[in-house]
Amino acid sequence: MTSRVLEFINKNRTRLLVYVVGLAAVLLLPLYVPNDYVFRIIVTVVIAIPLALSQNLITGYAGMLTLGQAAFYGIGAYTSALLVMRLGVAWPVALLASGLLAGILGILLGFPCLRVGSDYLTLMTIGFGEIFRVVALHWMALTRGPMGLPGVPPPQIGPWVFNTNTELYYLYLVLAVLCYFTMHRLVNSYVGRAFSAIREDETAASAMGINLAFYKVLAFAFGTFWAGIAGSMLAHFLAFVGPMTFNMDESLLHMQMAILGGLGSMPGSILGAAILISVPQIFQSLYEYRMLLNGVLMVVLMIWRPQGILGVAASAKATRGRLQQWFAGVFGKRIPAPAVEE
Amino acid sequence: MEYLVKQLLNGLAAGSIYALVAVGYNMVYGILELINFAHGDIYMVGTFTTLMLVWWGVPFPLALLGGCLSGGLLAITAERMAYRPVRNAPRVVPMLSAVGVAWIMRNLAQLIWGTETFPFPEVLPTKIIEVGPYNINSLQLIIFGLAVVMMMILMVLVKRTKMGKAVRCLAQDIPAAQLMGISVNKTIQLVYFLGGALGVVGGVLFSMYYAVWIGMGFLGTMMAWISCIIGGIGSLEGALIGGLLLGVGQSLISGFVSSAYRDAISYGLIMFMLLFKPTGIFGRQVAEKV
Repeated sequence: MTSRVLEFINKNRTRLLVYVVGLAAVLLLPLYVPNDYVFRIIVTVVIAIPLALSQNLITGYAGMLTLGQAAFYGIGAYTSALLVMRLGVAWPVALLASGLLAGILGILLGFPCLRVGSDYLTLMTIGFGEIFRVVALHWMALTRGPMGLPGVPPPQIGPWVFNTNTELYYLYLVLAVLCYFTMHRLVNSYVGRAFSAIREDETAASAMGINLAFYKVLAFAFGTFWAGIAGSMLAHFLAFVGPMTFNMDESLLHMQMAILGGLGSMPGSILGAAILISVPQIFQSLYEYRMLLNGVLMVVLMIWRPQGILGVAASAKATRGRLQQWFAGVFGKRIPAPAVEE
Repeated sequence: MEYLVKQLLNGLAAGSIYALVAVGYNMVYGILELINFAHGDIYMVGTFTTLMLVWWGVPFPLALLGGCLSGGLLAITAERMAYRPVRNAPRVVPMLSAVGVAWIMRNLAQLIWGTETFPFPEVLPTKIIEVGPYNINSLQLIIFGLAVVMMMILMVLVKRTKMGKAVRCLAQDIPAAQLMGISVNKTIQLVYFLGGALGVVGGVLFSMYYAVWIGMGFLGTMMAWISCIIGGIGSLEGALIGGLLLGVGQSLISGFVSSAYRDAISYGLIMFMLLFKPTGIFGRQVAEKV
């Protein structure tokens, strides 16, 4: 028995080392954070992880281009804040309720989306997002409209109140890891294979006996559930919920996180979330040019590496020399194609 | 009754603007199936260009022409730099590239013109014409008339000329069109140019009716897209009818139901409509290739 463990360790030495160092770094992170400002950015990244993962599940694995995730994020935030503040519900119940409500609404939106093709699905999800935004902005009795809901209490489990950054960090880390773990189990099971089959070719998938409607709605339900949970995390972290947070640009940001890291790559989504949340904060002096840089990043990424940083390329040759080709095409210069080995 | 007529007229004017913006969008959509998120932001820049030219004292028709040119050229540039390199990639790729272009345009416009809302100078007469008990704003008539004329010109261009035939061929089948000797890239460029230029006409009319601000681009993209989906993808008549229906519908909703929830209700109605008529009113029923 011991020898087998030793053998396993020997075989996977580098891998294990990376895991152990990574785990230690993540767990000990609060010790090295220089100030509160940086810490809050880190917590924001942790909140963004479920968002990027759920976008990746729906778009990257199941192949549906949804641009309405911000609405479910918002639904989660409002649900949790209202339950805790108006009805005095305990935080864990409110957290679960916000995920469930977002998931149920996701299923309800998923059914009509089944009937329509891909572009209509995108439009429908955008439409849903706009409906949510308008309702959140104008339903004064419930959401207080543009004034939002200030004073959302921090998470509390029984007697423990999580109100410092360190406590919040560990609590949200647990949730993010839970999200990663469940999604990992999901996409590496027969369900995940069904998702990929649907993404690659719907007709072929249904000919193989895959129930398209069931799996598409399942992807929606799961993705929106976690978006709702993330919403609840945000509400209790910021102590404020307002309608302006959950607009179309937010949905696009989630999509960008999933794409930048790589569609169909779960570590990629985490990387994407970390980059897109922290980089704009680092370059705050360039705030005015934020969208410009973001746009350039997007276009360059699409031309150079559309599968994302950690995504798997259709072929290694395909990415090599893409930018040179682009320069050659746009500026009319002939650059010899890069030599291909093998 | 008078209120109803007033709302209908408002709706028709807004709808004909939507139609103008939607036509260019729909041509691209019909050929490349690209959800062009940058369409609205390109016409926004074109509208700002027109506004600047008017401020500098350029006579309005020339300024409009300049604006159209800038819109068309911007659209071509975007196509060459950001869409063409990814034309054959999976569909999400060009769409996100377009989102990138939209962000670049919006940020550039914001750096140049700021986030203020500008009124468009009164270059066209706004008189109230009394027809029996109804008051009609002459601006509405001009907007409606101009939109119809532009659409007629475009329809003749697409349906009667050789160039238009090439456009229609591409919409059916790009590789086959290429084999028939049609220059695919040039034709697509032409479509983008026309779409961008017509969009600017729509944008200028829009800003005369409301105002000029950065956010009008995204609004326009969404309205154009919805008009296309109501009318049917890839159909010029569809874009026209879809735009008019959208304008009248929105105006009736804000006049009789609730102006605060106008957008939510119109989105809801469109989602409902898609359930029963997913190809729009004039949409082609295309069998899916296996």
